[in-house]
This record gives sequence, C-alpha cells and structure tokens, in this order.
Amino acid sequence: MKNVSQVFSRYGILLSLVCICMVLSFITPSFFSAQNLLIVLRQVSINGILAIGVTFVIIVGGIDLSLGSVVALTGVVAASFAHPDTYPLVVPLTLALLTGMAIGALNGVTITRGKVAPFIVTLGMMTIARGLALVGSNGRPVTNLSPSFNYIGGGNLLQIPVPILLFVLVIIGATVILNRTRIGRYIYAVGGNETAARASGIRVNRVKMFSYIICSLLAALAGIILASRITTGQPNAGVAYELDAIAAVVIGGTSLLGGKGSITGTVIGVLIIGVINNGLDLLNVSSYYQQIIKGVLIIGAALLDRKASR
Amino acid sequence: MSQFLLSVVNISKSFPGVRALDNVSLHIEKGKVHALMGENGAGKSTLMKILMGMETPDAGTITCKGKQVQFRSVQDAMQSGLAMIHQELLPFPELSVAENIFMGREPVLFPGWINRKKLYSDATALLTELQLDISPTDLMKELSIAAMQMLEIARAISNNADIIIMDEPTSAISGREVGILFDIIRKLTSRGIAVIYISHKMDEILQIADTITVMRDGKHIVTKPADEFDNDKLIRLIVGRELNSIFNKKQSPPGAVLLEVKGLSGEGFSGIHFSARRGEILGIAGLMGAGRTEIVETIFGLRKASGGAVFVNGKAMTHPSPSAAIRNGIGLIGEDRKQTGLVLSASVRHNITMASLNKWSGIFLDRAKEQQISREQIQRFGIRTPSEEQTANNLSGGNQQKIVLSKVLLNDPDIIIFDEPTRGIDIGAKAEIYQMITGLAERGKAIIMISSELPEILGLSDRILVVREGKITKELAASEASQELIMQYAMTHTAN
Repeated sequence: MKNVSQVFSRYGILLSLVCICMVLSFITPSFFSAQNLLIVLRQVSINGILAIGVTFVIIVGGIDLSLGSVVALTGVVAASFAHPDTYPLVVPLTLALLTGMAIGALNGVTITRGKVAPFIVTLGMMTIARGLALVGSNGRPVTNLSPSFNYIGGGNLLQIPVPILLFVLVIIGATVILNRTRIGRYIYAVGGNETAARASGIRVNRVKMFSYIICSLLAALAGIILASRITTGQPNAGVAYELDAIAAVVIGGTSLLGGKGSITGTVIGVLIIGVINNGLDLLNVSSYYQQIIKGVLIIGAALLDRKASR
Repeated sequence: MSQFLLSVVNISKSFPGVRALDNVSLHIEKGKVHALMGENGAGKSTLMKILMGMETPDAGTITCKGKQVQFRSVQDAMQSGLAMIHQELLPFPELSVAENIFMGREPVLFPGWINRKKLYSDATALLTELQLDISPTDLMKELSIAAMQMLEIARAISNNADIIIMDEPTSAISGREVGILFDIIRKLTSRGIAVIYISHKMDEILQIADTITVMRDGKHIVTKPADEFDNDKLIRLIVGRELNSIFNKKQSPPGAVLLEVKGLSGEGFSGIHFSARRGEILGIAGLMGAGRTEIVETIFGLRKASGGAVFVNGKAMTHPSPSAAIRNGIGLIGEDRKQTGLVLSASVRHNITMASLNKWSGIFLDRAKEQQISREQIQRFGIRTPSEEQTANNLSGGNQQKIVLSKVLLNDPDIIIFDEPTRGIDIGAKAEIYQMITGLAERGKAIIMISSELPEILGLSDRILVVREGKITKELAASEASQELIMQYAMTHTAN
C-alpha cells in the first residue's frame, strides 16, 4: 500500500497526463494526430517558458507576479526595434532580453537588500512594467515588423515550429542548471532552509538574485516569441500570464513553500493545462467552462500533493 | 481525602532516546508557592506540559481535588483549574486589555454578539481586585512585558484557576517589577490559590517559595520546606551528579592562539573578550538565555556585531558573514540543527555536501564525486540512514547531528564551534560525539563548546568561560572548576 502511494506521489501527475491524453484520443479522434500535438506544443510553449522561469523563483522560496507585464514590455521593446530595414535582428532580441534581466535584477535587489516580501515587490513591478509598456508604445500596438523577426514565433525549422524548439532548449537548459550545477543546488538549499543555507556559507542573496533574473529573462524570451507570433508589440498582451505559469508549476507538484520541485513536473503541469484546453476546444466546450476546469485542476493537484506528503 | 489540591504520582514519560520523566511524584498544597528547580533538561518542562494536557504521560496518575484526572488537552487542564503563565507570552497585540483577558469566553448578549459593556466592566472589576494599574481599554501592544504577565495572571484568575504555573516569570522583567509580581503572588496564595513556580534564580526562590522540589535527569530528588535550604545546598542538589567515564580526554599543552575575540558586543551580550588555542577545548557554560548562542553566532557572522572585533590567526575579520567565517577556517555546529543546520527537505547526500561544494566542484557538479564523498562521510561518521537519498527529516536526532558535523568538517575548519552538541540525542550517540570532539582537539583544532550540561563541560574542557546575562562572569581552568562553582557564577548575582 505504501509503495502504491509512493509511486503515485512520484509519478501521479505523469499518470494523470497520460490518462487525460488517452481519454481525449478516445472521445475526439482528431486529438491524437501529429498535427494536433504540434499545435498543442506550440500553444503551450509560451506558458511553458514562463512556467519554467517561475519554477526557479518558487523553488528558491519566492514568487513573481510581474511576468505577464514583462512579456508585454519586452514584446514592445523588441517590436520597436524590429521594423523592416532598420536594425539587424540581434538588436531587438538583445534589448528585449536585457530589459528582462534588468527587471529581474531590480526585483531581486529589492527583495534581498530591501527585504520586502516578493509578493509585494513583484506586484508593484507588475504595474510598473505594464505602465512602461504603455508609455513606450504610446498605448498603441507596435506593428510593421521585419519578416526575420516574425520567423521566431511563426516559422518552422525542420517542420517544427520555432517556439517549440525554443521551449525544448529552455527545458534542457533549466534542467541542467537545477540538477547539475552548484547554483542549482543552492537554489534548492535556500528555498528549503534559508538560515541553514546561510550558515553553510551559501551567499543567499546572490542565489535569489540569480533566480529572479533567470525568471525575468525567460519572460523576455516569451515576450519576443509572443510579439513575433502575433507580429505586433502589444502593450496589453500577457495579462494574467503569470497566474497560468504559477498554476502549471503548482499542478507539477512544486511546493509554494520552496525547496522542492522540478522542471519535469512543471513541464508536465504545462502539458496538462495545454492538453485539456486543446481537448475542450476540439469538443467545442466553451472557454468559460475551460476556466472552471483549470481552477478545479489546480486545487485538485494541491489536494493530491497534501495527501501524498502526509 | 488528601489535603493536596493536586497530586502527581509516579509519572513517567519517554521520548525517543530520552527518559524525560522517571517515576516523578509531586504534591501541591492549597495557598502555597511550590518552587520547582533543576538544570535544563531535568524534566521540569515535560512535567508541566503533562499537567497542562500538552503531553500525555506513559505511566502514573494525576489527582486533582480528590478526583483522578486525565488531561487530553489544555482545555481539560483549564477546566480542572490549572493555568500556566508562559515564558513567552502570546497576547493579541492589536486587541485591548479586556479583549485579551476574556479571549475565547467573552460575555455575550446573544450567541455571537459580544456584550462590550459587560466585557469592559468585568475587566475593570478584575483589574481593581488585583490592584493592577492598567486600563481595560489599553491596547495590549502598549503594555510592558511585566504588565502583560500580570494580565496573564488576571486572565487565569478570571478563569477560576486555583493552580497557577509560572515558568521563569521574572526572566524578562526588572527588579522593581519582580517586587510587584511577588506582591501579587502573595495575594493569590492568601486567597488559597496554589502557585507552581519554576525558576533558576536562587534568591527569588528562597524569597517567595514555601516548598522547594529539586529535579535532576528526569527524577525527583527532594521536596522540603524552603527554610531548610540555602544557596549552596540547592546548587549541590541541582547539579549533584557524578562525572561519567564516557569522557576520556587527554590533557595536552595548548598551542598557538587561533581565535581572538576582542570586546565583541551585539544583541544580548557585550564586552566579550577571549581567545581559543590549537588543541584546546574551551567550554562555555551558562544558563539558557545567557547569550552564549548569540556570542558564537556573531563570531560566525550569522548575527551582526554592534562593536568589537574577531581575529583569526591575528588577522581581523572584516565584512563578517558565514561564508567569510568558513573561508577563514571557522566551523559552526549550531544549537538548533533543524533551524540552522539542515535543509530538512533535502537528501542526506545534499545536506552533507552543501557547505563544501565550492571546494571540489566547479560550476557544474561532479555527481560521481559527490556520491563518493557522501558515502565516505556516512561511513566515517556512522550515520545510520537507509540510503543517502533519504530526506534528512526522516532521521533521528543523533543521526541528523552527525550529518551537520560531517557537513561542517568537510570544509576542514581549524576553529570548530559546537553549540549544545548533544542536545536531545541519546547516550550512545553522545559518546560518539564526545570522542569526535576530543579527537579533533588532539589533531590540533581549536574547539569552542557551549553546553548546558555541566558534566559535559567539565569532562571535556581545558578551560571554561561562564556567561551570565550577556557577560563573561568567570574564566576557570579545568583543574579548579566544579559543577558548584560554575553554577555559582552562572546563577547568582553576586560573584564571589
């Protein structure tokens, strides 16, 4: 009995994903086709990249609510420098990524040096970044972007949409950082017990800074992909994206208390949300119901997690 | 029927690895102050927790006012007329004095609707009766600690308590306030209320108590009228333990000075001055709350110093932080391993290697090497764990302590600070840890060891610092030290 529950707590969410996929392939024949699965993956890639970023912050014991606004801001920044025949592609990309890093650094400094709660700092940053996006674009969508820029979100490489490839690269990179590097280990240690980490000589503030910067950097990547995909720097884009990302992390079994969690879990959480949305779309279920189902899913996952940890 | 309000007979209680109470009996008389004394770990707190229904005894009976009782919760105990004034007060700071006194049993007009008028008039009546100069409408947070304590007592009385337990009630209040507290205690006893008074402070006990019970190592030692005791006799009874043979320390001539602390001050201590030498074990004795932990945590950089300096090998440590301390060869095995020692949610292996990753690993972890190191450490320290993947919170206290030890020693520090290294671990693991400490000293490390267990201090130390109320009150050589002498300097106000 104990083994069953152990197996379930370890592989429970993976099993859930498989079950959901099986049910959907039975009731909607079009679900299990290469074409549809690629659509699902492309749809989830932006939320996936955001969720991986916020996984870092949540494992280190924090939270980041500014992601959606960072998506909008960095999208606007990138778009503003991506008009045809102006700058080479690296310019908008670099500027957008640097903007993301700067915001992450600002979040991190205020949280570590200023000792303000992450919830409050990133809540403030949420409106600041949104405001900056609106100011920078005069509140209007930034359009007329170069084809090379639009390739990032809309193009295919070896018949696979570029966002999916980027998502996969991010998964690999994040997994390596969390599991195979020193800083990754420190992230778990700081989230698990900050005092003990400090007493072990770990520079806690640096570890936190790193996590917030990674998180915002990935939000900037998501912002670039989104702007490129909709061929617009949209200052109103990305509203509540952070909540979808956090939802995926929670469904993936990462504890909001910090110290625990994995990229694999987050990716599965992202896929569960994506597959269910896609399945309900195929079944012509209204998007209103989809919201209810997503909510039930989040709470259900948390309940399961409580059960398993007891 | 007996004349006792409360009788505890042959109570025993064990925790994993520790026999906290061993056949203890205690009889509380109406209208008397019964003082309970003993070292940290003597079993006083456990006994009180049992009386308040927070722990259930393994064996024994409790009789309250002629009826045998079994307290399953604090509510049970309170219904039988017991109340406890805690060391740490937990009032509701944003609520008024009256609301605090009647929290949970407010007078109501009809269910759910508080009768505020009666609430405040009841509170006024109660405060007047006790002659307390506190307004019922004051906010709790505006009161002094002493006033909060008085209110806890008022609250207990309003709840019809007739046995009031006071745990170190004077630890946070001044001399004048102690006088007020004693007046109140006398008022209580004149009304027939019994007071169980727990304290380390001799002079207070001898002043206020009618009866004194001494406990030691979970056993009842003696109960006698207070006037049959004096200072020296009490100290002898409290410590009165033979040194066991589990210490086999070789005396060795101390080497060069490794650590010097000059005029260090911080929260809870000031003007600390001492040095530690190679091959020497420096014991730091004193009561809980004397500032010992604060001192060593400041040396290690976990706390901020407000003055003074720490020198390692003659060089002052600038920008103190734990990482700087570790770089300078200092290691700290903290008092609270769950708080400062371990990441409980992480595996045994990750905990062992946590502090030394930067020694043998670049940006990327060498996982094979990590596994090899952690296996070696598990072997070397005899850490009993089903696997190195096991999360640390599943291990026993002794094994957790060994993990912390192995983690700190992996950095090969020259100066090793132990803060209560054997708290809450069983005797077998204790012996292993003693062996390790003496072994480290023999290999030329400078050891600083805080302990509340005097046999441990006396059995291991070459030199002993006694700390009381944030100051070093005495430095003793091992040859001249005794349990009585240490307690003398640790407890009494007048050092002679």
